[in-house]
Amino acid sequence: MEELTEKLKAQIIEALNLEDIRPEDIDTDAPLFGASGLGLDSIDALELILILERDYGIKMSNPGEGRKILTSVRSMADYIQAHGK
Amino acid sequence: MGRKWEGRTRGGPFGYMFFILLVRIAGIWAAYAFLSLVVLYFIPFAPSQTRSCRMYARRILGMGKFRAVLFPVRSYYAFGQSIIDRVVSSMGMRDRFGYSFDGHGKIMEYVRSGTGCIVIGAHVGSWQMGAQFFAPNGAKVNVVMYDNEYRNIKKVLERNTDQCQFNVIPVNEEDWSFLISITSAVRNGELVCFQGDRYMKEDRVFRAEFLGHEAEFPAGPFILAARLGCPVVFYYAMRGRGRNYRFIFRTPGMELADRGDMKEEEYIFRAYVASLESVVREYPEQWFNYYDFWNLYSSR
Repeated sequence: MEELTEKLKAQIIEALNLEDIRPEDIDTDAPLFGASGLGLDSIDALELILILERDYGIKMSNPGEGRKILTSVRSMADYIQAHGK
Repeated sequence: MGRKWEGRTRGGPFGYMFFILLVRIAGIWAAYAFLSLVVLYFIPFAPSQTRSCRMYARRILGMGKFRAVLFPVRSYYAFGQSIIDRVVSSMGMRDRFGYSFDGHGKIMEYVRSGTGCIVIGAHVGSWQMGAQFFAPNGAKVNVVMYDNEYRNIKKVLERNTDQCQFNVIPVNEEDWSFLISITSAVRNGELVCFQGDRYMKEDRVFRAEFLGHEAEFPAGPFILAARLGCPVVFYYAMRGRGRNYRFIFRTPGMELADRGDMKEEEYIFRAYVASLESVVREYPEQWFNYYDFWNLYSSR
């Protein structure tokens, strides 16, 4: 699990061009969106959706589940473990 | 009046309901005649819209003072006509209009092959007039909407007219789950349509010279199209003389053959601005952004 969360953090940093942030700066359980976490916006959310699609073969189709899955690095990793290819 | 569009459309469900009844009871010409009165009402009673329209005529189109003062009459009438035509068309009277297609080869190719595609339009003309032609060709059309009031209007139209020809993907600034609907629709080979000219409180904007003055556009639709890596088509439905609609389709390649070292999103955006500019130059009175689009007189 830890390997997956670290890999995800590196992928997020690369996809979102977060130049000043290192993987260890991202709290696995911190919210990705909103002021208390990484403060990502909707374009960043798209990048996360595309990471899941491109790197893990996950095609999300239910808008309702998006909020839950993309809450934090941990929630993404949990979903990848359960549904990834 | 601020630079940003405030997410409200004048008229609302009641206005639509009124025109639907008028067309049913008295016919399309009665609706056009009544529209003339509505236009005269709006000139003084929608002062900020009238001002923006006059400034557009004067500063952007370069009209003289006298023509610029009269320009809102033409523009409001064209706007009202676009609404009446859309209502009439969806009431099963499509044969009252003539249609011509310009540059539609690519999009039909995508529809036939089931290739998901992003379609970017603008608040010009009457894009809904073209929706009727997609479904019979097997296309599923999704329209991404920012306008809360339009969703109410859509309900009125659905109750009173033909089956709606498109699915609405509502945009909520607080909840980006609409992105899942968009991604999923494109991957399923559907069309996803945006308006590329308005934003409400978007942080990411692109700037370009548009009709001779710098203007801001939302970056979202262009970044999204670039990231999804799907084909992009620009689409405008413009009203010509004698109730004839011309559906104009352009691809980025048709507008900008040389992309230079531009990033994909910038290339799509520049091509979009070029396509929109040539459409607005040809149909200047069908530019329906009634606010200070170029930030000509609002506080910066």
